[in-house]
Amino acid sequence: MLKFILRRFVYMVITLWVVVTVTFFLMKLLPGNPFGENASKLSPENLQILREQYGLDKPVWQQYLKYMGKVVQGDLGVSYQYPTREVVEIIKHNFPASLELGIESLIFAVIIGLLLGIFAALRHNKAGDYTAMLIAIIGISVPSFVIGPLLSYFVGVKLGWLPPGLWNGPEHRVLPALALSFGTIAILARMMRASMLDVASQDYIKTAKSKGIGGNAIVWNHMIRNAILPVVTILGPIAANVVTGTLVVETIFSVPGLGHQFVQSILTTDYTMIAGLAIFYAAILIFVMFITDIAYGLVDPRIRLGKGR
Amino acid sequence: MKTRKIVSGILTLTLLGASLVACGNNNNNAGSSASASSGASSSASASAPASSSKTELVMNYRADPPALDVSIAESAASFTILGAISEGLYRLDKDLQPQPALADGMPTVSADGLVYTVKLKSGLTWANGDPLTAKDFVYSYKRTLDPKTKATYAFMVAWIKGGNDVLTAKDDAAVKAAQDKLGVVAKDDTTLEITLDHPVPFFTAQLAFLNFYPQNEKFVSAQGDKSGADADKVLGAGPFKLTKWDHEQQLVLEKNDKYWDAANVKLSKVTLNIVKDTATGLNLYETGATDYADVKGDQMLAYDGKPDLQMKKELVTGYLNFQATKVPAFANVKVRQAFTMAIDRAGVANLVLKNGSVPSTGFVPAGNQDGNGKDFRTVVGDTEATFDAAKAKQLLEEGLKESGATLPKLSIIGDDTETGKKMLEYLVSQWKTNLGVDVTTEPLPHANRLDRELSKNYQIVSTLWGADYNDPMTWLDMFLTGGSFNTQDWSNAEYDKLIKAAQLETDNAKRADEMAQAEKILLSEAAVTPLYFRSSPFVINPKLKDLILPPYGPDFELKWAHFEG
Repeated sequence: MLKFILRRFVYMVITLWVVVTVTFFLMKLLPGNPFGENASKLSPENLQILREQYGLDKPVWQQYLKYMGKVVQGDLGVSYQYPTREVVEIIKHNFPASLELGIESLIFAVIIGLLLGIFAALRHNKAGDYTAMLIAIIGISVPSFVIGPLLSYFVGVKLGWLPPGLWNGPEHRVLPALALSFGTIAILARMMRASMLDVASQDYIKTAKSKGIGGNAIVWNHMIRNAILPVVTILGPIAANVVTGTLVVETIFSVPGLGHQFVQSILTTDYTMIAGLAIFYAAILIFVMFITDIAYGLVDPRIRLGKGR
Repeated sequence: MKTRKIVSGILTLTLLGASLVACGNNNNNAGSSASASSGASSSASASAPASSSKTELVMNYRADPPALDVSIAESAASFTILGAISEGLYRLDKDLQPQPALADGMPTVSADGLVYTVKLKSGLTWANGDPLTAKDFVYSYKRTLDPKTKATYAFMVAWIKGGNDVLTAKDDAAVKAAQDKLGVVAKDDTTLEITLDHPVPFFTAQLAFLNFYPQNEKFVSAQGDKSGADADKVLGAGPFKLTKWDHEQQLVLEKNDKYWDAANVKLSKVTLNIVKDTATGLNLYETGATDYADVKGDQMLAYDGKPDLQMKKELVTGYLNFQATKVPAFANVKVRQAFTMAIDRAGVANLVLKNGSVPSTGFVPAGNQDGNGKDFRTVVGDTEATFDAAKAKQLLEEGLKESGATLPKLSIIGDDTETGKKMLEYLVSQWKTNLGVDVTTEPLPHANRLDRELSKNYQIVSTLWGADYNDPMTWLDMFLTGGSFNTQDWSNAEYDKLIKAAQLETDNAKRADEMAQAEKILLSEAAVTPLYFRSSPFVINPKLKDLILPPYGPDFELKWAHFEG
């Protein structure tokens, strides 16, 4: 087992290194310069001085080595668009909002998604099933940039129940978390439904029924408990996706998260920020995959021993 | 099977744990932000007619300022906020006239227009209580010009004699030597003497601009690389103090009681919430959570005729360049005139932009002063050819015959924003209808467009320019032969002569006239094709008075803002 974990860890590090390297060289191909629009007001001499100060006058491979050396020490450099702030600092300051939003939306998604899935499975092939699945399909096919503004306008302005934006008190959390959770609700509901139906046809359910155990007890003790297992295992990757995919919702609801920084950094050719955020997001996703791999390995020895295929 | 159960048990526990942590987070945040939300609700209740003395202003703001440092600030966001927490020798009033701020009266200017002597008010202090003296200005200008500071707007401070020598100094010793020769001296604690490299007739107004603000050496040097990075790393001497700066979320300004003119500052607190989506911004405005919001395009229709809607006329001109080296036909005046006259500019303003922008009548936008105390556009009048499809067609024919060139397959580049793309489509349809010429559109991300434009890698580009300072020179020196913004490779000896003469001219009337003549040449040659003078719409709580919306530099001026009724 230790060997398996070690091997996975090495893979993780290699993947991360590939991501960093590819990002680094790709971003050097971005048009424009990182000193912003006003750099065009600088004289050529001053622009040259700037480039020297940032080490941009050196060959790309030298920049790459220097950058990698710093990354290994946990230093992601200073942002070009925020010249007084370090990338690590910006991540530390803005990521908690993204994380919180992601977790809250996941909680919504788990509660609503599982309930919908269970409900649909129990009403299999009846109107309730179709309704629940219709909701799920709408959830998965309507993107958050449509749901977000609708929620902000109707719930925030027309009904006036919750604030249409900003990120101050708990009441500011509900709408963005809800907007972000729609897609996940759909995934979880469909998965839970399938899993429930699978369990319902198992022999032990029939046995339980024949023993005369009541409907609710069967559903609660036997069906949900067994059906939830595969759903729980995908929560890891889903959580990672949700936390790293908050961009649109953040912009719509003015959440001070990290998603916006990512897009902004690319638009402004902010080299250090692009690379830093790519590394950070990649690290989260890869780490979650690493944990998932290990969990699968624990559950299923075939994976661990590499005989799965 | 057993392991499987254990693992699933652990995973369930983890999930539960995660949700508990999340709830915990939630509560913490609720606690820490209780004051902020109560602030918002109290301001909302204060806007009820019952209370007439609302002194807290809440605004949406579209961006987090990159750095609140006088030397390196370069964005409107930084100008706006530094303008509230700091101050220069002068402050521009609503008519853009410089009013003495830290200065005690207008400057004494030498006969050759080069030496400005300014008396400071006595007893001035920084917001932390330190005395503010003329030395703080000297330090500020030297720091801005130091190449190590990396100040993009240093070129304006380099108008001071010896400024360029500091900017281009190669090493620390050379910088120090050049700084010592810089034409700025603190004669005593309240007397500042600035010697310019060449006459700058609008220099007094320029002293109100951010880059000429003072800086507190002790405070700034203690911050090192972090100057202006956070609320506790900013020190000003202006009407407000920055008391909270939650990056990408909120800035809180509170009245500075040590400000020399504190009696005339009516607002006690200004909260700026960072809101990037204008639709959300308007939702917040509708619910009373903000007193000010940006408006975009069609959103304006909802506020048509309401007192909330206000237009800010900006010193920004949108225009086209025709690259003459890539497309030899564009070297011909008549061909350029044809492409210009084939565009109905009214459509640009009314169909494409719909934000209060007006069709251009020249290159220097309406509202821009002429350096001689008058409005340049009013004095010079319309210099741009009017829309005339028939004439355009005829000119194109003649032009192509004259130059012997043919039109290649043409394309126009521009920004890939919603409006940017609409603009390109409109222009292409105008040329197709009125000239019978096919042009393809090539919308690009902003940085990409700028890069292609500055490297002259385009045929036609849709671009814009905003005034750096309120004088025609910020518009006209761009098109000197070989200038870095003369990307269309236009050259005219008479134009160069007029601009160079104006740059050294000490007689303001003569200077204004030279620039007027130069613009006439620029437009009659269709060297550029201006399309519109830009406006930006906002909604503002009608009870908020005297919030100045300056046409260039900062987005708004807060000092005199107050609520009425």
